[in-house]
Amino acid sequence: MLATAREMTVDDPLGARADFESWMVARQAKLLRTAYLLTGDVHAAEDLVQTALAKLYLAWDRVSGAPSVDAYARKIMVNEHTSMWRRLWRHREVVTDTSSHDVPVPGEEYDGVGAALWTAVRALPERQRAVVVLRYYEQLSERETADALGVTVGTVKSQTSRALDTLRGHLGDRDDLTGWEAHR
Amino acid sequence: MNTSSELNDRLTREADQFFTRGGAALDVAQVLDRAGEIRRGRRMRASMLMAACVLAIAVPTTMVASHRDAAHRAPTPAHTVKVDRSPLSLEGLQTGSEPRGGYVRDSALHSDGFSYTLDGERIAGFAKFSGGLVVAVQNDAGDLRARRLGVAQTWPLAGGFTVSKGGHVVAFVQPDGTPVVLQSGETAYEMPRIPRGSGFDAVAVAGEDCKETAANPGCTVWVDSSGPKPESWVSTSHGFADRASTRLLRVTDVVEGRLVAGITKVADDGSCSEVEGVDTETALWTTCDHRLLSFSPDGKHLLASSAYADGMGDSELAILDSDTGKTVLDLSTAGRAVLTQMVWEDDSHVLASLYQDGRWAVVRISLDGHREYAVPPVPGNDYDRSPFVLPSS
Repeated sequence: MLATAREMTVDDPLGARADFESWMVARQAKLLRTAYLLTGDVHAAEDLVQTALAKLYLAWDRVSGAPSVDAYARKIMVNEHTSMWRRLWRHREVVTDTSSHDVPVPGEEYDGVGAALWTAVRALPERQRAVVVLRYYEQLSERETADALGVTVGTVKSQTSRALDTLRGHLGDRDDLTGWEAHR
Repeated sequence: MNTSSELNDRLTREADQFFTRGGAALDVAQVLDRAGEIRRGRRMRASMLMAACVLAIAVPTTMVASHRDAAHRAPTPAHTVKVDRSPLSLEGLQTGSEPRGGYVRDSALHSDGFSYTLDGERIAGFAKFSGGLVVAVQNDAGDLRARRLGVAQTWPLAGGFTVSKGGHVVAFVQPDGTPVVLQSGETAYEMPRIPRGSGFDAVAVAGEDCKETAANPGCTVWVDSSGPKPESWVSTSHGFADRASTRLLRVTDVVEGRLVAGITKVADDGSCSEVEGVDTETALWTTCDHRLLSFSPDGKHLLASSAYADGMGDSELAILDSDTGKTVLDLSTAGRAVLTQMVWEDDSHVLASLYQDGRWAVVRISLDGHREYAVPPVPGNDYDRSPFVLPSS
């Protein structure tokens, strides 16, 4: 690892690494949380963010001056998550990893409603889950969500509507979750 | 409480569980290590390319020296065609003919002098065959359907299209794993369903008529499934579907009766692929330097890219000898340019959708590395998908 770090420093005469490191330290916790919601798995989230940050670093000279590095990083991460490549890798992990670290564990800070909702969100198709995470966790606009996913605003609207319908279907018998409506 | 605030609250609480369930912040060294892995992969390929260049120069020189010693005659150049190995760029290219198989720009399909639009639906892909054009249309919900132009029937679609060598059959697969083949006229056949999996994609079809007779052996469709684990399949007009290969995680293309190309191993810093005999499942050659994409129509060459598939687009276009894996051409992209789609136009030309510095274009690349615009640059950005879609082959 040290050799690699030195190597990257040698390749980085303009000090971009320091800028990147500062940005990464400030922003990675948010990326990790989002990745956890996207993947539903602690280790898969770490892996996803590590790769996304590595790719961001390699492109740092051209993106560091962009208006929103956060948006660029998010886009890399979402693309990485949804790419065929990523799917192949994840499937391999699923086959070989039988640990239960990603099973929700009820606790004081994790009530039954949260567990049920999390289970329902994780059961959503990948794209719908990504839309829900970006719209309702990251609180992006429909346009920003569409940009991050590389789809149209119309697709974001329809996927959001479908996802909420599905969540209502899973949770509709709970009194505290009645009255959900999609924001359009 | 409305949906937005309630979902945000519950997702936020769930996201916060990342750190209480064993998740940890990443160290910069970890990230740079991963970046180094990615970069080293690129350097390795660049080094091999340089070595190949040196060899290409050295061999004729040696030959010339021997020749002079033997016969005292002026040498004849070993090659009269100068190979252009400069990085792929949108700068300074001439404009050539439009893509032979047509192309989509901004959801308008251009083919043979005609333009088609489909009521605002996005054209996500298309294929041309002797029976006409078939397009993949995507609605606002993101659902794909296959639609044959001029025919009312549509089919739900997973993945893309693939066309037989002779161009008489196009195949695709429905989300439930049932392959469909279209032929000339209005003939459509459903092939035996893939018995398990999800995330299907039809990658090759062999045979020019799927209706079996005493004289016609029918057709075979190769299908990949990505879930719950990657597998490759064949569905045949003989009435069964079975695993295509136990070695390949994914079949990428087939030369009818001869060769199968596919991915054998995937890791976070790259992949390995191989070419097998179509009936033997024996590796003819393997590579961990390239990701194999598609065979040329004559089967002699294999289009490939970097072993590490980058979600932002590829930075390498390689052409390999199908039988040996030897590199015929290996081009990297200039600076910030990325490749988002690469397809064969004919036996000796590749079409690529290329982005660079705020512009997209379709570039035609010859086996000798020479390139021209097939569609001149249009403004765009790399946050959006390419405005161009090239035909499936």
